[in-house]
Amino acid sequence: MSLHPAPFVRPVPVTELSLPFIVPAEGVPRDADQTVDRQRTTISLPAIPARVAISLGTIAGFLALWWLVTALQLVPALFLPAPGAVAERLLRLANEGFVDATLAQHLGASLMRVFAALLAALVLGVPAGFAIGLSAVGRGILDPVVEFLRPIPPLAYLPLVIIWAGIGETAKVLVIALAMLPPIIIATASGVRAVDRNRVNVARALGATPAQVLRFVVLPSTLPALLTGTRISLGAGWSTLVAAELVAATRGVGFMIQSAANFLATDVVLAGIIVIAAVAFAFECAVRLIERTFVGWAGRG
Amino acid sequence: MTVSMKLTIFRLGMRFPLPHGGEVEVLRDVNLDVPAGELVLLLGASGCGKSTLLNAIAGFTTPTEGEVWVDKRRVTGPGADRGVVLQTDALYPWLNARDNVAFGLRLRSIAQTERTVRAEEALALVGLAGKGDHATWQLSGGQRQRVSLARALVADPDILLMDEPLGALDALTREQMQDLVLEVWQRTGKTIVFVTHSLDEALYLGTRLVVLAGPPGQIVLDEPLPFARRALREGGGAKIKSAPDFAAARERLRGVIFAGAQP
Repeated sequence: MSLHPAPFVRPVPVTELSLPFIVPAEGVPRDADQTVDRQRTTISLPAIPARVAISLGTIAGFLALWWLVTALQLVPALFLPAPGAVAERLLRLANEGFVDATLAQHLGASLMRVFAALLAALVLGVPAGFAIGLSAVGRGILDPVVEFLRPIPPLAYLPLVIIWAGIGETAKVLVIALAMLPPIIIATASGVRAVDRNRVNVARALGATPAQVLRFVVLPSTLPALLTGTRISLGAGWSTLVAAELVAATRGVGFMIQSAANFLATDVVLAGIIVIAAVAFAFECAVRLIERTFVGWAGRG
Repeated sequence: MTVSMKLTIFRLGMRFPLPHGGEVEVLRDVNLDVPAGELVLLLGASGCGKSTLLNAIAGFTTPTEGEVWVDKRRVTGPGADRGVVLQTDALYPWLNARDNVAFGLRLRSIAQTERTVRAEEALALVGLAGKGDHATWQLSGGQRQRVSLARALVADPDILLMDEPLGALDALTREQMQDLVLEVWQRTGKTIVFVTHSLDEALYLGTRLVVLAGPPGQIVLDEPLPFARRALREGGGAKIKSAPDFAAARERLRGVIFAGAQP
């Protein structure tokens, strides 16, 4: 995934992207090209970096390949519908819906679960991370728990959670929260441990109480690591969510894909996958935006 | 023990346990009396225990033996009566320059308006008037160290402890900063303990020179110095540093250091 704000960049028509690849024998006129570039930078958004342009080109390439395969009817539409059909289905999902709910309702249900789980994971994970980072006792108690939980795939404890918490919302939120917890705890703990000793000492020499050191020095120092942990755990939570919804749900993007698969509605499955990817990408961008806004100082001293 | 002193160090000893058993003696029987308003330069080679001594005065470490007294109170931990400036400026990058300076005031719940006024005063004192809104990463190394000094000063400590504060700066900035320290000392009348491993800095900056040799760190020389007061009187360090008596003092001091310190 790109570090640059790709989604905020003006979309580029495919024809423009293909320009460098179809170079006339005498070459692209240098001056003409540069003036176009200069206009672009001065008038609106900054020029698209080459790397982003290449990435967009790759995506366009995949779409073209997909379209070609379906247009030539190399694969039956039942297995791989055309891009146009999927796009059309996506629109219909948004307007008419699928299995008694519109796309927005499915997406809303999924997002509610993830954010409820994120909240729970933060409420539990941040104090746990501080306990591990600050005290040997806390570390002794919580380290085995985290190390036990971390490597288990959420699908492995999903049946147990369903036995304990039933097949309602609680079970799904619980499974997602369990998947989100370890990254947050580990990131917070390492952030706390990495706090500069000198910064703490300076605060103490200014008369800070231990509670003030925690609030005014350790907490802000830990914020970048905490946001990194949140980013990782959102990824983990989102992938667990879809799995959790495959098992037992009446609404949600994962459920939508699962029921569509039962009807062999491949276009809905593909549309759902695209929505899931888009939302994950949006999460990533949102957290990066938060990082830039609130901890822009990180790594700059 | 003389309790009328600003700072009294009495038979201070410090030993640290080694990871695989045994211990290392870093300081042995260090005694020092510092009257108010003195600018003490603590000079020694690397590893002689001068930073350990400063940490003990600051209260960051508890001495194995002996006592540290500041203003008739025994030091048992860090406190706002002893301000600290370290070699790494240890600024808080999430705060701008002004809020870094005002940090100590915020800890005491002083109102925002007063914090701003006092922080701006301190910034002006270190020659950074108008730079309060700058982020820490927008400041040069010398400017950052000035902010660090202002941050220590704004809390109005009795003693200023400076642990090689100019060690990471380039030579030219370092000379400017030396004169800044002298100016701040003259204007505020603070008692300052300044650690350095530079002979020139030690001779030029202090009103009193204390040489520590070790390990284990022991005081091998303790005498008054004339050059800082002369620099303030005559204004200008370059002339003093090239004067014959400065060079002579430098040669003598070099002899003391290399006689006392193991290579």
